[in-house]
Amino acid sequence: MTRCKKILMALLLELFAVVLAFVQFGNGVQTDEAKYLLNIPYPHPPLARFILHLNQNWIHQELFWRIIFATLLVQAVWILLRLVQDLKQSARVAVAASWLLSTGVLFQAGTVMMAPLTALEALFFIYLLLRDDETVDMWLIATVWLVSLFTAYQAVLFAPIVCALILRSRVPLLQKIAAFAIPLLLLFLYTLSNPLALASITIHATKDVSDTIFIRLAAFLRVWFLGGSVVVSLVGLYGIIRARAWPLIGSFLLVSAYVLLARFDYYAILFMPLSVAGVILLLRKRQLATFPFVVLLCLCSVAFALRMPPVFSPSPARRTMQMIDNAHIHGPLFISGSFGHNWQYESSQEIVRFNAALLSTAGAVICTSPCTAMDARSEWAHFRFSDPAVYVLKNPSDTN
Amino acid sequence: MLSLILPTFNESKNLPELIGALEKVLTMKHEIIVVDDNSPDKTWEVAEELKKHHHTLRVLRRVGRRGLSSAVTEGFAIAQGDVLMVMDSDLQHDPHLVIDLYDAIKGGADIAVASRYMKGGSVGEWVRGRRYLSKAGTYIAHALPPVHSSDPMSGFFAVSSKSYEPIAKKLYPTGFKILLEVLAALPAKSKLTEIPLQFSPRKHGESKLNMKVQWQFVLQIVRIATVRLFQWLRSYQFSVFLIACGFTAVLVAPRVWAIHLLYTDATVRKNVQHTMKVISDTQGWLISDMEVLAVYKDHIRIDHREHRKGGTVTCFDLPFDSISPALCSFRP
Ligand SMILES: Nc1nc2c(ncn2[C@@H]2O[C@H](COP(=O)(O)OP(=O)(O)O)[C@@H](O)[C@H]2O)c(=O)[nH]1
Ligand SMILES: [Mg+2]
Repeated sequence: MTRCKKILMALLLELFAVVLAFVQFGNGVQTDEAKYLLNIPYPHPPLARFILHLNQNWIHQELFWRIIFATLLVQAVWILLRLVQDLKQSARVAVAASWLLSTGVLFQAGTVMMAPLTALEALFFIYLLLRDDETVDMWLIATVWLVSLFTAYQAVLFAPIVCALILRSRVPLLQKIAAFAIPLLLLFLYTLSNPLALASITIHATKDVSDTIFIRLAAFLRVWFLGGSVVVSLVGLYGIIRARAWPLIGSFLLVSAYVLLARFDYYAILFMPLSVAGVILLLRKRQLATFPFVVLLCLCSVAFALRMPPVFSPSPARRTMQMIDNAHIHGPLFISGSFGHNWQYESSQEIVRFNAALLSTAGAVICTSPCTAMDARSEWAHFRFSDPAVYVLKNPSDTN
Repeated sequence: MLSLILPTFNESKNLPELIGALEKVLTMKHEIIVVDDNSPDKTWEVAEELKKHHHTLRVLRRVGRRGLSSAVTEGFAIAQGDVLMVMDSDLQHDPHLVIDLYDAIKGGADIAVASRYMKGGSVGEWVRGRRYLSKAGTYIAHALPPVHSSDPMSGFFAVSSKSYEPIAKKLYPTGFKILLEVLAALPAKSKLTEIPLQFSPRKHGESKLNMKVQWQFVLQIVRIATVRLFQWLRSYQFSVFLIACGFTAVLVAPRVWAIHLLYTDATVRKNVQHTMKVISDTQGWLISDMEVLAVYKDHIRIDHREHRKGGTVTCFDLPFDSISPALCSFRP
């Protein structure tokens, strides 16, 4: 590609990234995103969320990070293209499409989550594994390994790849062990320093323990297919098995086991680096009918997008908090029922859990689950058109 | 053998005089390669004409390409000598220095630079603005590459072909500053010799240094800086790893120590859980807003942060028996 073409492509990709970021922007901050944007000390280690929270007082914080995250994920296609620069044009198109048009990237570019970051870090390791140049900068790899672990716990799922890279280097075994194990030990130490992280991981991972193996398998298939829009998932798996790429197979098994344990749609992206690596390995050995491949991929992605369309209306949390701000309500907000950190993100007032004993101090009561008891309290009135229901004091001046 | 590259663009008036002057000084075995980018003033025709009398002259006419740096690398690529040299063809570079540069390489230097910024050198009659600009650029370009030249942007230098060959593929020949590119690619232990150069004014024609070329220089600096950063990271990778690990351990270990009773003492652990639950029920606080800072035999110390964006963080001591939060008396 000439310089001019490259710049043009980078600009088009950036446009694509911004569009994807705005798709996520429509619905407002999700609860997990709020955790990272506000640097709430669980469940993940602090590195990424610490950086994210640095501009938390800026009104455009959310959009800013959405665009950064989307950009990172979309422009990562350049790394993949480097791996196939010697292949035919059609093969390069297939690889770029596998990454850019899979639902994993389409749905998750622009989300401020840790899974996309982990996927990118995994992509970096995979790049080192698959490139021709076999020289290994072991301590640099170990440093990135440390960084990835302190970004999010799920980085351990890519340990087989890191292992393979470290084993390639020509240093004494003891040093190799140190490079691999010291970052893990530090992560363990961090976990001990943060009991909340420990507890939340246990809750997170055992959320669905009672499910049968069939429900689990179905859920696993869903997340796996969601990653690569079925097509890339299947071709990718075939690719890594055919090439007997053991580190990639190992990571695939670990990610699968993890998803069997705790299934969340946002883990779909963790399959992506592995799937695309499989596509690349396959293309290095044989041709792939690019046109049908890309068309099928697009069809699958569209089918997924129709089933799970993006939401463009503000979330209940954003709506409710804007209403409360407009009504100039002051004082802590009591929430009855469950609520995520997205409420905290949207709120300019302090939020506390509903507590009848302290009710007199409340500025308003928000009921995310029905709280009919509030109707019985004559001094509290149901705020008009509010959903979830919001109660405010009938005449604030009376209660002093 | 010396291979002297003369990049030209619209130098038809200067070239004959330069070739004439060179013929007088070049007593060693040599070839002169004029690399002309299809100049509108037909410099290449002038050069072809000169060939009739100067048998060591070769002419490379590039059609559809422009650029000083790439002209030089293409000249080097077809050169046959073991000393590769380049000079401007606008008579701003004194032809007599060719001998000094040649001797420097023959004397064992990997690279020899005719420098305007060393003692005895000068930039001549430049307009003021350009002198300062050149100085600032020179300073950065001096510090950045592994081989430090006092005039890394000079257009008059020689390099031994055995030093040049291994790096030829790594060069990005954009813009004017091919010497900087070479200095950045050479190994740090390369031997550099410098001789003073007094820059003379242009005889005919005009300079081709325009905004685009200056912009290319900025990009070149950024690119070299990035590469150097990675080189630096690579060569100090063990230290980088060690510092990263040490830093993490120093941040984390004291915190683990401060709460170690949680892991070693079952009664304390129970008390902590109970306290957290009670405080959360009575105050409406969320567990996730409380960060345990330290655990003692009879109380814990926590940071509570208000459950809102930009909420303030307050430190509390919570005794196990009374569970009434008290502001921390001192920060550990
Ligand atoms: N082949 C080639 N030579 C060039 C080009 N631009 C400049 N030169 C030559 O490079 C030398 C230095 O260029 P000049 O414009 O005098 O730069 P200055 O001395 O820094 O002002 C001269 O011999 C020019 O003819 C180019 O695009 N192609
Ligand atoms: Mg000049």
